[in-house]
Order: sequence, then C-alpha cells, then structure tokens
Amino acid sequence: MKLLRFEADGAKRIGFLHRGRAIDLEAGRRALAEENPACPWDVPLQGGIHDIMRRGGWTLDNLRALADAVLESEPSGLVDFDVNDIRFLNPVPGHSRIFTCRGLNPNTLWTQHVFALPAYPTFDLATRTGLIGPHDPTVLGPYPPGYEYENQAPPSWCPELTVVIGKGGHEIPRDQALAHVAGYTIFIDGADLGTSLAAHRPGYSPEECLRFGTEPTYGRWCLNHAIGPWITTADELPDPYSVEFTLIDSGLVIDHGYATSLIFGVDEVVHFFSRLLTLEPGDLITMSSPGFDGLFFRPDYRDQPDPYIRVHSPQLGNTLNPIVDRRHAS
Amino acid sequence: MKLALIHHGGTLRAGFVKDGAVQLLPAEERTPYSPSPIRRQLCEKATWQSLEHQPPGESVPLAQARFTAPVPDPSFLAEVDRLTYLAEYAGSPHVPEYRPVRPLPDTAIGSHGGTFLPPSLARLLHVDVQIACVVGREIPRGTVVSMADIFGLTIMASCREFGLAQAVEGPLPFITRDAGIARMWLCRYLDGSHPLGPWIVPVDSIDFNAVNAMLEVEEVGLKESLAVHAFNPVHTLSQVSPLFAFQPGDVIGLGALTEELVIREPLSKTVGARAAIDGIGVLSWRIDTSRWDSTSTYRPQYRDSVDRALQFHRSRKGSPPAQTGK
Repeated sequence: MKLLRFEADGAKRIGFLHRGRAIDLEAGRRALAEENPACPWDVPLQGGIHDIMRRGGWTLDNLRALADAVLESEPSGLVDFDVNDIRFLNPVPGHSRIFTCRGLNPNTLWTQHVFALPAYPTFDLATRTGLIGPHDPTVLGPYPPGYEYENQAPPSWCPELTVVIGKGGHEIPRDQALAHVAGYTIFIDGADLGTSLAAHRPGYSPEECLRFGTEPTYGRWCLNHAIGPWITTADELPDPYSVEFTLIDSGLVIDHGYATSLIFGVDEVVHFFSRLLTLEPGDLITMSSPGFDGLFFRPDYRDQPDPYIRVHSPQLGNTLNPIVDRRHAS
Repeated sequence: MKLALIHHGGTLRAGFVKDGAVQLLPAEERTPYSPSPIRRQLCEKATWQSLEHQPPGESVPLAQARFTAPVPDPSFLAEVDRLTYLAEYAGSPHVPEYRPVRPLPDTAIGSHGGTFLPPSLARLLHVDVQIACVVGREIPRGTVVSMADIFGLTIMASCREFGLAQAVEGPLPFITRDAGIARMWLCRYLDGSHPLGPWIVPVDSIDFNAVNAMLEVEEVGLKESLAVHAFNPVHTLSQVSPLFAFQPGDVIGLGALTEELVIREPLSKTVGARAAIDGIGVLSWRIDTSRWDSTSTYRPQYRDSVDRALQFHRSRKGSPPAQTGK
C-alpha cells in the first residue's frame, strides 16, 4: 500500500494509491461508517500520517484493513481522483521527530578517506519548519544581513532512504527491529553549507567553532527538505536495500546509488535509536544518502532559467522540487 | 495571570492559578487529536484574557493538582546556549552577533513527570535551568520579531547525559565534526529530558536584567545564581528567526541561567529535582533510572556487504586492519 497526503478539489486529504487513482481514505471511512453503524473505524484521519499513527492510534494493519474494506464495498461516498489531477503533499507536515543519520555510506568517506567505520550511527535532527512536499519549491536564502555567502560551498541535496516507525518501543532487539517498521519514503536532505561557513564567528577558526557544534548544522536548517511522494509500506518493500536513487540537478544526473551501500542496516539503526529514546509510531529515521551528495557540484542557479532538483527511485517514487533562489533578496 | 494545564478526571484541563487553587476552564471536546487544538487555543492571548474574568467554576487545590507541561505536545523545542557565550567572550571586546541554537524533539514533560535514564549509561548527568518563551503568533522565517509575538514565559530544565555519548563512542571518533555533532544530539534525546512548567506567566513578570534562579537535585547538589541575560527574548528570537519559522505553542529556551549541575556518580535510584525562577514559580520533577533494562554497552553491527567491501579493500591495499570502533 502506498499511503499519501494529497490535495484535490481544494481540500487536503489522506489516501492511498490504487491502479492509478488516489483514493480518499477518510471519505471512505466516513462512507463506511454511514452505511454500517457497527463500522469499527470511528477515529477520523486528521493531520499528517504521523498524527494518525501517533495520536489517532491507527496501526498499519488497521489502515490496510480500512483500505481493503473501502475497495471491496465501494461505498456510495467514496471519493477518488486520477493521480494526474492531484497535488502530492508532504505526508508528515509539522513533524518534529525526524532523526537524520549522517554519513552512513561508505561511498563518500570511509573507503576513500578515513577508512575507519563509525562506532555508532551519527545523526542530528531535521526541523519541522523546513519540511516541504515532493513537488513544492525549495528556497535558497534569504540570508540574514551581513552573512557573506559568495564563493562559499554551494547548496547540496542528498536523497535518503527513510524509515517510518509503525510500532514504538524502547530497547528493541535487532532481530525484532524490522517488525517495528511501517514503511519507507524518500527524504531529500538539503544543506546550504555556504550558510554554515558564513555563520562562523569572526576571529575563530572553523575547528574552534565546531567545538560548539551548532554551526555545521545551520545550513541544514536553512534549506528545505522534501519528503514523499508517498509512504511505501514495508510489506511492499521486503528488501529496503534494493532501493535505487538517481539525483538530477536541473537536467544533469549528479548522483546515483543503491541503499545496499549503507554501513548500518535498518534493523541496526532502529535498535540503536531505541536504546537512546522511546521510539513512537510515526517517527522518521533517515538512513543517509546511498551515493554521493553533490557537494562538489557547483551550479550557479542565477544563470539557469528553471533550476530544479529531481529524485527518481523505481521503488519509492519520484520527486521534483523547483529551486527558488532568494539568496540575493534583502 | 498564571496559565496551567493539569490532569483532572482522566482528561487534560486548562485553568488559572489563583488563590491557592487551579480555577478550571470549561472542558474541551475530547478527540484523539486534541493536543494540537488546545495548543493553538492556548496561545490566543485575547481568548485567555477574556476567560480569566469569567466567574469561578470548578477548582482544584494546588496541592492536589497534577501539572503537565503547560504547552501540550510542543512540536518544536529549541534550546539556545548562553553560558557558552559568556565563557567564550569573557574579557573580549567582541559582542556575540548571533546565538547557537539546537532544535530538540518532543521531550517535554511537566511537574510530576520523569526524566528517564538508562541506568548503565547514567554516568555524567548535566542539568540546567532556563527561561523558556512560548510563541504566541505565527512567525514566518526571517521576519522581524516583537514582544507581542511572545505569549508568555515558563521554566525549562535541560537534562543531558554526556556519559551516554562516551558509552557508545569508540576509542577513535571516525570524523571529529560528525562525531562532535552526534555527541551533542546523543545527550539531549532522552525521554522526558526537558521538563517544562509549572505554568505560563506574562512576559513582564520578570526582569531580564537580573534573574534569580535555583536548581536542586535531591541529595546531589544545589546551584543558585543571580544571572544577567545577554539578550532579551525578542533579541533571541530575532537571531533564530532567519533559521526557523515559528508557530503558536513553540517553545524556545533562552539559555542556562545557573551553572550546570553535574552529577558524576551513576544514580542508583529515582531522585527528585527542583528548578525555580523568581517571578515564574517552582518546577519539580523526578529523574528515574528504573525504566530501562539494558546493562550492556552498545556494540555496532555493520552490514555484511560493508564487511565484505572492507576485506576486499584491505586485501588490495595490504594495509593492517583499520580501526572499526569497538
């Protein structure tokens, strides 16, 4: 099942994809409840997919059973749309629990530079305010007054395999970790490293600034992160390491990789995080980019008429985010 | 005006703290998604001011009230560092131009809540107390912030477990930068690591130029200070605004007021903790080590394909086995 949020007929909806159509799950639930008062699904589907899992108490099995019932009975109030007539939305708007693992990919660092494996999955936190949908514009800047970003590192984007937690818990053993995974989606980790470097304090070296640990993450908070286009449930993707990504920057392929290159597996990361904190349904853990991250690619978006970032994954779907350059805005 | 949220009769109820009791407001309709509507409603200042003057209804004595975090289910917690700056800029003519900030996941609890530590890893606990401001209006990214955007103030304690980072790190961090960042996050993600409360007071309740603060952890230590804030909340939010957009109910800690209270011995039992700021109130909670079962240190398990790649790489280079963490 492919769970998604979408906008159609001027309304934001939660639904699933079926044979090229997006079916409104909440409308189907209401229609079922009206036709059959004994319908067991009495909790409405509101907000993002993390909301319905965490607050609404919906499990993946419940959602799948509801979808099956909607398809089987085809109630009179069923609402569906052609997939070409909808706008895909961020499936987890306002989500504040997105843990972004970093550098878990041997292609970029380990085998070429450091060659020492990390002792644990390193990570930081994506801010909810930077989240956008799979087709929303991603905005560069504006920067605070006084920040100099010219000749700094360019913005970069990394498509990442992202795990959606379906069943919470703490101290989850490795061999049971995959049973806690509800599905997978794409997270495009944007980082405007020019902002990070520009935010260095005058008179202090980058190493000194790193002691405080916040400046390198400024760039990550200053750029949008696209999520979507839908959440592919784990039963449709039994081998998450088969996921393939292609990153296209304004028509040029700059990255291609497979999730099989990850240093830590999904089970290891879920096990690790559950030792630190209690994982909750709807939590997202990004698994780092399977390929390179485009860091050394330096397009000048001012010279391009319609720049965009596109990610293609045969297993998880496609995203396309136009780039809006407002770095020069006052 | 002190706004509080308490557990009462199996539901979450809002009320004003007055005359030694919590005067409850009418119960809201309960839905599975109620925290978000309450959070939005909570921060509509005009609504609250009109409700405050309604005739008193049901009330709960303060001694019996079970306070929860005054902003339920905050979707955004940011923690801004202050002592870092004071230490760094001591004796320096430089004035800090911006403030480092760390977003945090939803780890807030209220009075009667608990901070949970894995017992085997509870080795180096740091606790500090901060003033936290609650955002009252939507603030788009990069816009100018004014005092009217701040709904009120409350107390936020921050509990960090640096021993946890040491326990999972290998003898040689693989990259200083990433390891340093990750270490910082590791410390701040514990369940209930950011107690909030006990209630929200108006912004003008305290003098930001001289704040009395106290932090106490039972049988462990006590820290008191008369602190001078480098920035007021508007200045702080203005510095953070280029990075984040804010929504009503977001919480931003303004930086540690007292020195950190460092607990170096592993806690063998649940202890009580109290944080107080003059003009706001006293926040009490407990630090609990009883919830977690693990007594083992984390050991990484790499994917088979990575192990094979490493063996291949080493065989080609003929180099000795590389450092692989633990």
